[in-house]
Amino acid sequence: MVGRTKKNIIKGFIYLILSVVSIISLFPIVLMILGSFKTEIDVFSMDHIWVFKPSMEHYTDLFVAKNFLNNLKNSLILTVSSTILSIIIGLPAAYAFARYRMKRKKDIMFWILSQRMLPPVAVVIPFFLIVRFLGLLDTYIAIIFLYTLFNLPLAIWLLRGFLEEVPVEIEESSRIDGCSEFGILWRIIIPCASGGIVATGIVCMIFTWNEFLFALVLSSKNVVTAPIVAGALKLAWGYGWGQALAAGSTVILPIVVITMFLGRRLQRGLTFGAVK
Amino acid sequence: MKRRRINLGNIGEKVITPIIFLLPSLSVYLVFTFGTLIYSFVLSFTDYDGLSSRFNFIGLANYIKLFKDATFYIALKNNVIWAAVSLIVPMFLGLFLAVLVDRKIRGENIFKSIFYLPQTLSFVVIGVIWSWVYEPTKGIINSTLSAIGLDSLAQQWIGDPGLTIYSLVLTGAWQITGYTMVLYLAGLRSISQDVIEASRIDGANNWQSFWYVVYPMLRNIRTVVIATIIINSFKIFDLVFTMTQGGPGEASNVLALFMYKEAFWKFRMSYGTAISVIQFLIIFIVVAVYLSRTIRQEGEV
Repeated sequence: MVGRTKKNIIKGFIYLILSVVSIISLFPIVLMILGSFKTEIDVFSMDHIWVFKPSMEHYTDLFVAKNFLNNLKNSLILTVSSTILSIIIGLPAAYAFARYRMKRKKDIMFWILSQRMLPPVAVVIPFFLIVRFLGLLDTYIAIIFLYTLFNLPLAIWLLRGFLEEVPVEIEESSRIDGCSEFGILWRIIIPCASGGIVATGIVCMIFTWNEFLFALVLSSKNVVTAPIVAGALKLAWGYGWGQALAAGSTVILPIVVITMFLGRRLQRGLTFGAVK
Repeated sequence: MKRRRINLGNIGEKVITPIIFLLPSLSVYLVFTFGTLIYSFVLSFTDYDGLSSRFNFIGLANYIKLFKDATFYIALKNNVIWAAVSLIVPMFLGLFLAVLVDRKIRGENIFKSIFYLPQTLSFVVIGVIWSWVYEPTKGIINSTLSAIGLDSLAQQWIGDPGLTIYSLVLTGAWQITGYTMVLYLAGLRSISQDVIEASRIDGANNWQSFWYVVYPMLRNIRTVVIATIIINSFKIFDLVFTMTQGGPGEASNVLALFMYKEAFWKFRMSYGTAISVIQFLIIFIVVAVYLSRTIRQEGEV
């Protein structure tokens, strides 16, 4: 009896701590989303934290006057194309690592992963100069290429893990049935590992959607992404906070939806390389 | 003489196919990562400003200048502070939360997703949120403090030169804790229950079986967490750029932002590359020493 009460108290404490931490995690985000619907006066009013008269003025300013939809479109184009490219280029490489014996495989894998660890910051100047030399500043193609380059190491690393989970026996039998190597990859492996491929895609998408430094350096007018606008609105004097909060809320919306609905898959993707 | 029969079909399958599969990604990497690193390195020995078409080789002048530059030391110190605080707060909190979540609680997935959420958000947006929270006159922290009569505790969170970097680091900690939690949880789940039960049979209490059995078995995960935190701390850019732009003065500057400002605002491209070469070397040495020692010994890379 006593032991049970003690157990319940401990459980209660655990829930209390977890709830407090949840509030700390969520509070600033909720505050921002609420703030984006407030008038400029209410944004900082302590009396109107929860109860206020909703206003769409910041969103109207953002989407009508500032054409924010265009920036969201840029972000979407960059994100979708570089994610798809990373998967298409990464899959064969991951398959090779997962299935074939090769000399110094460990070293190549380690080298590939180390690419992910190198800070892109270290190469931003040479990339800027190369892109400028090629006349590709402020174009989609340059940024898509770079994002694919940054995503590939992690994509290969994660995909290799997921592909290794596909039982070899299925491949063996289809090979006996006369299926080619590419056919096996296309018809057998990809359908079997689709969950892992989706998880990898989500990880790549989140990185690309949020990327800031390269988007900042390589764009000037046409391909400015949504996060850049959010940052610029915060840094610009005279706009107040409302528009920055509205831009911020819009930028995080798709990511919040993905994290909340595909959270387990995403976490699996992100911890996969670490545990294996 | 014995001649080995070579099966050409076999070679095609075992040698050519993996090469074809690997070629697209490996060639891209060979050209671009090595190419740009070397380019960066060469530029750092010139006086190239990014605008003119001419430049001269000036030897180590950029590096000499860098090592005499007070901003460099401020930025370096701030990166070290960032790493040090991040190795304490999110490391401990992440492990603590992981242990709590691991106790077969209800709503585990909801808690995990909530803790993890900040990690998936854009640094820029996080910067917007927290600048607003830290706002000195009307921000939520100072308003709350004054509402409950603690005006004296209200601070210039991102205005006081001594305090600003810590406010930024705490924002970073808020962001990364969920990530360490998820990693540690994955580590905890990979430990077999038999081991823990065995320690129980041997008479270990909760705390002992955690400290002497579970914690040492988390070594691999800890390696990943520590490496990730150190790398992130030395490449931090977006958050500082959005929140303070390195200010007040240079008080909250970090290496990446220092490089960015020199190269793209002051048009000192070659000086900027010298900064990024140093930054690269710091991360490379830390990671190479730390990771090659631990991960590669584990066998399964």
